[in-house]
Amino acid sequence: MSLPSELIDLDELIQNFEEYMMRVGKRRACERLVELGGVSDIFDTRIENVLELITKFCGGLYVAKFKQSLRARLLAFGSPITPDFISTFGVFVSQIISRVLDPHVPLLTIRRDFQKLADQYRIKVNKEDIVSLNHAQFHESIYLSEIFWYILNKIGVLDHPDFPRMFVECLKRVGNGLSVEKTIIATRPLFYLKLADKKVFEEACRGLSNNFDGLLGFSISAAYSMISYMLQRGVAIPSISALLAALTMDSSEMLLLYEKACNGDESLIYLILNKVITVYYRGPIFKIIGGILSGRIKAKNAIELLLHAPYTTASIQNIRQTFKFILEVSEKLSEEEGFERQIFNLLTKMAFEARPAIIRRFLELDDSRRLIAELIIKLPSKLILVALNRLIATYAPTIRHIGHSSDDLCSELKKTLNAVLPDWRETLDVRTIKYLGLK
Amino acid sequence: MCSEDELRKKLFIALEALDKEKIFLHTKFLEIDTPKGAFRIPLVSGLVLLNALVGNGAMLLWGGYGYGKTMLIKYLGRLLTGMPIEEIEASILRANPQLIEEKIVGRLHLGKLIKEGEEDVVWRRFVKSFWKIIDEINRLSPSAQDVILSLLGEGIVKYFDSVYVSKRYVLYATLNPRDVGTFPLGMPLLDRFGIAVVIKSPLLDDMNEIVLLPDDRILRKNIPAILSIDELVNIWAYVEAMPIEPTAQMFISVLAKELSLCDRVDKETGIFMEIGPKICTGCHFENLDTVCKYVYTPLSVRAQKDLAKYSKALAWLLGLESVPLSIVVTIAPYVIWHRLKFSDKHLEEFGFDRFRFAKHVVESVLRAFLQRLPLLQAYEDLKAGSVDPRMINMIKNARNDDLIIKYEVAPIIDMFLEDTYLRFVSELKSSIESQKKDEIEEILERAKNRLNPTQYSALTRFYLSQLRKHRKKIITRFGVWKAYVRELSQILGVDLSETLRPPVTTRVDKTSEVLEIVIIDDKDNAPVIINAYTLWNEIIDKISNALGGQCQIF
Repeated sequence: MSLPSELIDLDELIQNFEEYMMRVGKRRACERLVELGGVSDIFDTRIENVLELITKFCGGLYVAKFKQSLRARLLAFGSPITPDFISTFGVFVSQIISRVLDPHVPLLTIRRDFQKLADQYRIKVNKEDIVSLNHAQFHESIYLSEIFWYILNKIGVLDHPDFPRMFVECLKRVGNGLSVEKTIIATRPLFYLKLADKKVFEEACRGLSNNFDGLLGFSISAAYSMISYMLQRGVAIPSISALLAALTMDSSEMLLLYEKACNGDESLIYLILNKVITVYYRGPIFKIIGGILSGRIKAKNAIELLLHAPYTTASIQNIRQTFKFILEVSEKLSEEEGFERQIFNLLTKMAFEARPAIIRRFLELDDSRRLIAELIIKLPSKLILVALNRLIATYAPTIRHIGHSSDDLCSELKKTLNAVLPDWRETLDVRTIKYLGLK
Repeated sequence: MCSEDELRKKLFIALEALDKEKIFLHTKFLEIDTPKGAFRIPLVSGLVLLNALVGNGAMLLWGGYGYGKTMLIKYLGRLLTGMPIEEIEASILRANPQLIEEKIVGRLHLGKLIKEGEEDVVWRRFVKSFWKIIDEINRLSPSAQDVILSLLGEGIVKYFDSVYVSKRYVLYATLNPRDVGTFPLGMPLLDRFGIAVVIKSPLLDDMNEIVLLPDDRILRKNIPAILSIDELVNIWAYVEAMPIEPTAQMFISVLAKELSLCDRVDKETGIFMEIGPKICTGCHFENLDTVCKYVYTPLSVRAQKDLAKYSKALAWLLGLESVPLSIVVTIAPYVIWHRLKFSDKHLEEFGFDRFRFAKHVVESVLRAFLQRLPLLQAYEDLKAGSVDPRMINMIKNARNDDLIIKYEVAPIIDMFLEDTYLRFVSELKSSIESQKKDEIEEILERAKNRLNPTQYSALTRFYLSQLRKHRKKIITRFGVWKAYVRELSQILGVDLSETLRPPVTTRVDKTSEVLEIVIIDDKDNAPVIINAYTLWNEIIDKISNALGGQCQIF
């Protein structure tokens, strides 16, 4: 049976491409192939065949043309996968990764997909084998992350020399939109790459640099990989060395990390997160504060985190939230060793990093004065008084109208000051005294 | 007679005195995190002090002229030995290119030579002094460097047919790299310095204070003597007897191995090799976080021993029970930076700052070590008879990316999976558990004939590691030891008469139990430390009885 001059079925065209080309000529055949391939589904398995045929028979121009149309469609669907990724790793792998990296695909769907794949590849991950972390809400993501990297490992892509670079490129494209859960799953394979070096982790963290949740997910993923390996529960060696290099940890930090991992201590997550935030986080402070206020982070770790967070972009609301947060945790943590020094450092950091206009406007608010007064009462400390005095004396607004603190608050404040700093009238700046409504 | 704690206290008083008297103003600290908490000691004076705590230690102070290096070690000598400052000053060897053997070591007694034809040597003060200082060692000509080589290595000086054995000494050398009259120091000479510290210009605040100090060229400082030589030597014994934690011990060996291994050439024999494009291009390990590419020369065994020695000293100074990994990691850069020949290509990235680069090397080794540690632990577990197929598989898989696993572990791992070996370990373990001495000895004897040397050595090491868990420390005085040494020899069944000529360390290996005896000095008050590794109290009781109860058991 002879072929018609105008083939409209992609399957038929792929099967008889050479014959068709001889009949209608290279140019027409290749154009047809690009055209039909260009309207197929983005993860249609035939795309691999189309790419193969174009590369073999049509030459660079058509390859570029096809990839361009594919790229446009991938972008339109919001997929971070590139045509190069598809041509290197195939449609199957691309689709799995695309779904994991797609912020809109729910975990439930991913779970269903993974279960099918796990059956297909005879991968068995027992939920009981997962080292239990106190963060129950992330248990599911850790479980899925375990299946994810097992699948990729089974397919063999983790050994491919181009995979680290191309995968991280994809991750960077969606980095800012990933949730904690999604990042846990997405970043897990990074720890089991055959050729993972420090650059892979650096690039991955840079890709997540505006996303606090993403960095938290990365930290959980890293901490879990370390803990399961150190407790000899893993099946492969995670790239701890490269991770530590990317986190620019010094020897004492490394030893602390190791100790925590060996003890299965999940505060390891925050140790990593602090470092990741310090080195890579470029996003706004409110996201960190949001993360803290959501209750996902323990108060003690939250203070550490704030100490590493950039206050350069902080708003009045963020400063206020920080003060409120300090007040909230001060009762619980005031007895902890080093807490006073931490708060002193945090106040000093805010004073140095936040924009002067923002601090000034924060101080202008009546509510702020009350917050500061409460802080002095709740956390009676010379060190904190020094920090607050510096903050107020430097940034206190040109006082046009300063209300007075309520009588109760004022007398309480004076009582505390007398106890902590008996000569406060001489020691504190006159602007601080005025600001607190003590005169 | 001072206790360990009193001696330690005195050392801190000495450090304080250095600070109070403004002898060396450098407000920089060495921060040390230990399982007991975080500690801080002054960086330069702390390390200089540390050198005095290890037996026959040698230290290099590397830095520009006029920074107070010589003054610091002179006055520290006074504080730690009680020697008059004039005596310390008189024994300093001030290096210059014209210094010949006669001026360094000694001269022939001319009277005796002429009258009796006897070649009697009059040793120089420098040779005989306990507190030895070589000022500006870089000015020593290569032949003069050769003269002090054996002194630095073994404490031995030869001149004509006479030999002077310097049994106890503390040596410091200053080096000014910017001096015009500098001779390059040979690698073997540098390797003989246990520790080296770079001395930089003081901080601004220190400078401000220095300006106000009285002129030390006119006015000599009145420095008290805090310790005596004997007390200092007693400390050596305590330091020597400090145990090292297994992880720390492992790190020391791994550090040396990592620096010595190369996948392509043998660093031991490839003396003309140049690390760089010729050797490393295309090497799989070049792109990994490995240190093989950084270093031309392997790390000597002496360096490993020094790292252990100085780590022990620091741990002892901080009052720790044993040497943790953090101490070794802190000390390591100071022990290795001056001994290694680094690759210029990588050194350039650190502005040719050899110390900073050495620190980077140690951190890289630590990173790889922490990644490898569970594998090494699994390997140790395997030698102890516990087989985890999953971990063994991981060890085997790791060989492609890890030089230590590839060359040191993977080739012999299968030996420990053999049934014969595993049977022996299992038998030994159950005998240890039931504490049956005869059975243990019989098993070890049988294993000697049945197992190959690698397996047998692993089995005995496993046994020793079990014994180490039951370490007991017996401390007595040399006077007591001397009085009862004959009885002790009889009890232990070994001739201990050699221990009467300290400094000496003796190991009494009784197959199922081991004793390590450390004697540093022959003064009656000097401590004799016996580390007893045994599962039974019998031998400890016997020693205690033999010593008439005049000992302390920890």
